[in-house]
Amino acid sequence: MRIKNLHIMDFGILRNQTLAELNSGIVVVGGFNRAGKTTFLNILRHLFYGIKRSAALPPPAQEYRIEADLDVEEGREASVRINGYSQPEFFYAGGKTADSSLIIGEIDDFTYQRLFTINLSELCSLPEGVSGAEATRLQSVLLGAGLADIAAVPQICAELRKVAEGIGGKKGSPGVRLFKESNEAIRAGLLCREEALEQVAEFEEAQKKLGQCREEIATTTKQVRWAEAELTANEFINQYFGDYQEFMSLTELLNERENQRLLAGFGQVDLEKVARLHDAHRTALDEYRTVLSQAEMSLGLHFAQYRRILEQRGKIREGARQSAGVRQRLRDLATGLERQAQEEARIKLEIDEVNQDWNGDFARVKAINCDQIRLSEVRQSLAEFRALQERIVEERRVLGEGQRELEVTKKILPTLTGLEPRRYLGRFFVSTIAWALGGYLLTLVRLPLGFLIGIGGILASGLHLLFTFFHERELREQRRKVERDYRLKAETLQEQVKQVEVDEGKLSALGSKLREFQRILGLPEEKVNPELILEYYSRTSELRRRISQWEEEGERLKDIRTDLERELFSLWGLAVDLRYLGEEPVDYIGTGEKILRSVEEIAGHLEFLGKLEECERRLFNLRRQAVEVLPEGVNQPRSEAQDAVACALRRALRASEEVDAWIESYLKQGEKARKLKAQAERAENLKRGIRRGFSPRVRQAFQLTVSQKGETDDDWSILVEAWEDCSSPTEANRRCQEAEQSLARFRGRLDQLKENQTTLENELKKLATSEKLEEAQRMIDQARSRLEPLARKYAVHSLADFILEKLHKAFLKKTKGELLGAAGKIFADLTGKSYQQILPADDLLSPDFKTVTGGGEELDGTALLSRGTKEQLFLSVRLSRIQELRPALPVVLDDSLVNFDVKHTRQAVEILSNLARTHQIFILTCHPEIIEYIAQVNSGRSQTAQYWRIAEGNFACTGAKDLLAYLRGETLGLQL
Amino acid sequence: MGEKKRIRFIHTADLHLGSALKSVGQTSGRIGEILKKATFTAMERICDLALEEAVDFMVIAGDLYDREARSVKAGFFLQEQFRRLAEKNIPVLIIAGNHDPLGEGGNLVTFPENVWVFGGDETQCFTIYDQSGARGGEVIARVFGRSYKTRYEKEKVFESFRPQDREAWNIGLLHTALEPESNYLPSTAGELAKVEGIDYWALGHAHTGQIISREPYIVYPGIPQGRAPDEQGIGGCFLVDLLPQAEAKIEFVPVSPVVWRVEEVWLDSSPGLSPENLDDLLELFERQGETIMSGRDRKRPPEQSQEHVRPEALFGQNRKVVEGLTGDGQGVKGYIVRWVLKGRGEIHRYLSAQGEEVEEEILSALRRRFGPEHGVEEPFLWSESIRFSTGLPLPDLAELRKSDETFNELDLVIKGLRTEAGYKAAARRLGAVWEEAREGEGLEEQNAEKIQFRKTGGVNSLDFLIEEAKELVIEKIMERRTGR
Repeated sequence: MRIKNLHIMDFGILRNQTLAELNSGIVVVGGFNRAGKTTFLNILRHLFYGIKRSAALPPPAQEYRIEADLDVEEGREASVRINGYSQPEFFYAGGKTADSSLIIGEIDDFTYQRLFTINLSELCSLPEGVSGAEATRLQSVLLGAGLADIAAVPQICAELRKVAEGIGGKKGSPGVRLFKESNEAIRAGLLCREEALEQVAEFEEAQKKLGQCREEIATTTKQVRWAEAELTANEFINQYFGDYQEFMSLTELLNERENQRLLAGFGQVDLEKVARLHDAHRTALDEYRTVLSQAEMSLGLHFAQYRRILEQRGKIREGARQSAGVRQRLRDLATGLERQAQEEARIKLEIDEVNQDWNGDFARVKAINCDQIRLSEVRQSLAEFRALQERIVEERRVLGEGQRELEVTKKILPTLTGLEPRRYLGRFFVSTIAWALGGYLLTLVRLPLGFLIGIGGILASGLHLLFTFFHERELREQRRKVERDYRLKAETLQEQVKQVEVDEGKLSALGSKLREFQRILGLPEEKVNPELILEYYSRTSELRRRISQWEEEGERLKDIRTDLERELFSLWGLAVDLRYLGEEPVDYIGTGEKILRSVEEIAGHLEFLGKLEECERRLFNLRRQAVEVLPEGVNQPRSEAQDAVACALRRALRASEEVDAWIESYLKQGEKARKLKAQAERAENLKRGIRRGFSPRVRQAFQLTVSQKGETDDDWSILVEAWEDCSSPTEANRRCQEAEQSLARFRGRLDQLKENQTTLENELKKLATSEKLEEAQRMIDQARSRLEPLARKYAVHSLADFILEKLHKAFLKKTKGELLGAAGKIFADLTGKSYQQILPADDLLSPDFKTVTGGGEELDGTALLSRGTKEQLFLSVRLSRIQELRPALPVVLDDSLVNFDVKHTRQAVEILSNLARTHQIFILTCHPEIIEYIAQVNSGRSQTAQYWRIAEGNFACTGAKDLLAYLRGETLGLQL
Repeated sequence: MGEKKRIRFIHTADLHLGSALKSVGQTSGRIGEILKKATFTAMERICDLALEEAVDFMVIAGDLYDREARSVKAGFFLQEQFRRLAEKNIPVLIIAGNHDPLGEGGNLVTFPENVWVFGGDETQCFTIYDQSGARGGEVIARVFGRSYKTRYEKEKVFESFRPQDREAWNIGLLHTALEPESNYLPSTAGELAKVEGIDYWALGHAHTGQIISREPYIVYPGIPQGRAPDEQGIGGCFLVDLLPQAEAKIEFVPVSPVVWRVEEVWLDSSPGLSPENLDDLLELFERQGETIMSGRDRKRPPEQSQEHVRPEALFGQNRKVVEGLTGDGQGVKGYIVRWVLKGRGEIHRYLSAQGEEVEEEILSALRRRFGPEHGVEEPFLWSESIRFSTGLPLPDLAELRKSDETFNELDLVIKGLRTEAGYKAAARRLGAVWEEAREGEGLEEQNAEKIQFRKTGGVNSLDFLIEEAKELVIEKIMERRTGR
């Protein structure tokens, strides 16, 4: 690739410079110091990679602006443009943007700037402006053959180490940096685990203690049981001491002979039943006595009749039942008679009110035959009579008014008479003639006036004639109308008069009928009084009805009285028969109450006697039961007692008293036997109670304690022995207290031991859990989980660093022999075979080389070489690398050959000229001899060098001679 | 000369009763209970099996408890279980291992009479009599054993196993790593095979079940219940039938109620379907979870020969497992899964920035999805953790190598690291926080303050870490090249 045209618009002192048609081979730019050569070098250095702000470059006037036309590989044309600090822009011909990699390939800016743009300061082991890290890179670049990657290795390694050290320090120890936190957590987990493990030893210790504790518990438990047994046995002895003593005394009593007999004798008869019989008999006897005494007291003398009374009990009860009804009816009769008398008085009073003439005579009232008159008829007749009376009055009033109107009409008629037409026609003619005449007369005086008045007068007479005619006609019409009306009224009046006459006839007939009613009711007939007829009729009818009722009630009372007298007679007969009443009464009704009371008294006595009879029967039955229930021979009464019914009252009483004594005696014997039996049962119960209290627990207690004194299997014997051994309850009590004290002591000890056991068991249980171990494991696991990824990251970075180191070494080792071959050749040429080879240093990346002299001597390092040789060496290395790299970018040498001697300069120019076949080479110099050599070397070649002169920032294309002359100061004729 | 009678016994070891499962601290409720009891449940199932099969005896080849800390709870539990066996006259023969050496203290609990714990001072022989003749009947087997007195035993104890009577079966009970230079009864399979008269070496210590040899039988039953991702897969015991003049029948009976699984989830498992956000990522996990739960993943073909029995290899072959998995409630109650997210994708940027939050989100979603809250009863799936091992999309190294000297060289470097010397060198660079897991040592020997690695296998293997480092290197170089 070559730069065809270069346009420098703004860069340091170079402004608006164009270098057109630049040579594809060597382009020599000659100029004095400060002419702008170094500025030009910087332009070429940055042309393909852009200008960085950090670069120490001459400033632009406004903005860096450079453009270049390029001939790229395969004959394509392109251009590059730099504006300010932006990245360079590449275009193909036609303006299409080009990818920089297609123009400048993979050659990076570092390589280009350090390899292709050479000034004097570059030709040493550590060029100016190259840092330590860059020195290694530079060395890699110089060594070439893929060492670009290797050059980056140290930097990558540094990065990787930085990451690794950030995680785990230099050595990746567990306790540092990021590992530290996890490591501490793991240590805590391990500590926790150790603590958990120590629990096992504690467990063993606790288990031993538990064993001892359990043994002690077993021993103490035995002691507690013995003490409990002692206490139980003594408590039993104490508790049943009284029972035992009572049992012994009862046994003694029951063993007496008499008691034995009684116990044996009484057994077959149910004493309870006898006692119940005795109670019943005595109750019945007492009641009998009471009732007998009451009966005697109540009946008094009548008691002698008690048998007859009992015989007549049916009649007596019937009479007594009737007496209440009879008494009530007697009262009703008396009341009825009283009401009858009152009603009679009231009727009489009312008769007097209606008609004093009757003198309160019921017969007269009854004689009035009201049945002949129907009330409806009376009422109708009275209504008609009143209506007719009213109508006649009305008709008379109307008739009077009609007569008065007729009179008035009659008076009006004469006023309605008018003129006859003939009359008022005559008047008209007169008037007309008069006016005609008058007019005529006046005509004579004054014709118009006479004529006017005559005509006017005739017209006025005509008008008057018309008015009169119509007026008269109306009067006539009115008169005709009044006359017709008068006639009609006169006719109506006559009809009304006739109607009045008819009605008065009817009124008269009705008056006769009403007078007939008055006659029937016994009223005066002279004058008809309608109001009186109706009231009289109703009151008379009412009186008649009441009189009739009064008479019926009188009949009914009479019947009642008759019935009562008959019944009272019957009752009187019963009382007389039982000697409660004497002579027959005159008025049964009057003495009715006395008879009734006698019958009721008898009935009362009959009740007492009935009770007495009932008691007698009950006593008899009980006596018979006693005879049946009680065994014979024991104080048995006489047999007559059994035949009590036949006995007189007193004797029956005595028999019952004997039987009562008999039963009582029997009961006393029985009660004694029962008591003995109860005592026997009590003794048996006491023994049973003692045996029941002798539970397995107590038996066990006795077996443990008391029975040890004398071996026996019989429980009762053990107990009797125990009681015999114990003198008194006090002694038993004392023994109990002692046992209690021992028991409390042993129990306290046992509780303490059990508590210890529980504590130990809990402790063991706690120690037996694996929770702490699990917790420790959890802590460790979690921390390791955190640690592991970090450790892996550390390891991977550290290993990557390690791999890169090895890669680095291996690569360099491998390429050591192949490296620098071409450079050695150039170096040999350049030094005229004084040196034949360049070798890499042992540390390939150290910025130094070994050399082999023409004599085969290997010189280690460049320090031994002269300055010129050293520069030749570094130039050789660069040129060989430039030859290797593609694409062939332009090479720039800025007075790089100045320290070479003539011979070596020519050699260098020769080599450069050869290189110019493939590369465009810019040689910037102020030394004319170099130009001279270039001119000489290229003179015979097909492609000669191109020469540009630069002065104060201005370029001019010139020839070799001119440039030489200029640089030698032979000419100042600058044609720029 | 009489003939040996057929005997039937259970061989188990390394129960580590009392040790907690790694995930137990994260869980609660029903799952927490199951995890807490897992080692106990496994032992209970072994005893159930002994009763069900009416075995002649049971041998426990060490590490019955976990560490010297014979958890008291475990002691009481064993007492109860052994009492069950005592009721059926099944002797239980136990040696103490390096995790439960006899030490100075006695047993915390007293075992019933059917239990015999071998002493630690000298080799002892326990005689098994024919059950039909009760004790005093015909001798059917003799068991030789010796317990660890301390944590380390360097004596070649097996040399003192000298059976005299060849008419009964002779069984050697040994807790060894089968390593010639070891703190745990140094020995080799060859040495054991040379001991005359021993028909069956009932070993303990290695946590992976293996039949090392068949003549004589040298057998590790493995750990019945794994406790961490390192002990993934189902564990169990061996039901051994020693038959006269016939090959022994050794049946592996799984008993683990809980199975550890390390599941790799690949970001770029489906081309073009790389997850772009958290939802996609969760879906990826859930799909894999579904696969596990649906059982498609359970029946794996045997990966190794019977000589090295991996319990997973026996899936589908054993009636117990089949019964267990068909839901009679006695099989696998749940899986604890450690997820490893691998592969490359743009989501790596998000993961590297917010890995912890993402892990928390996904874990809680997975726990809900496959836990009892989601109606999943048993077996449940409990997600223990997620390890992220992801990177940005990278060109394939093989492709890179074709034209790139750097990656060619990188490949050579990586190969160099995967040599013995390379591993050693790499191990030194892991940092002091790492230590190499020693063969034959369980979780308990591990220094809890450090993370253990093995050369190969699992996310914490050197192999894996080197792979990750390699990818990081590629990523970094590519970053430089692309200027990012």
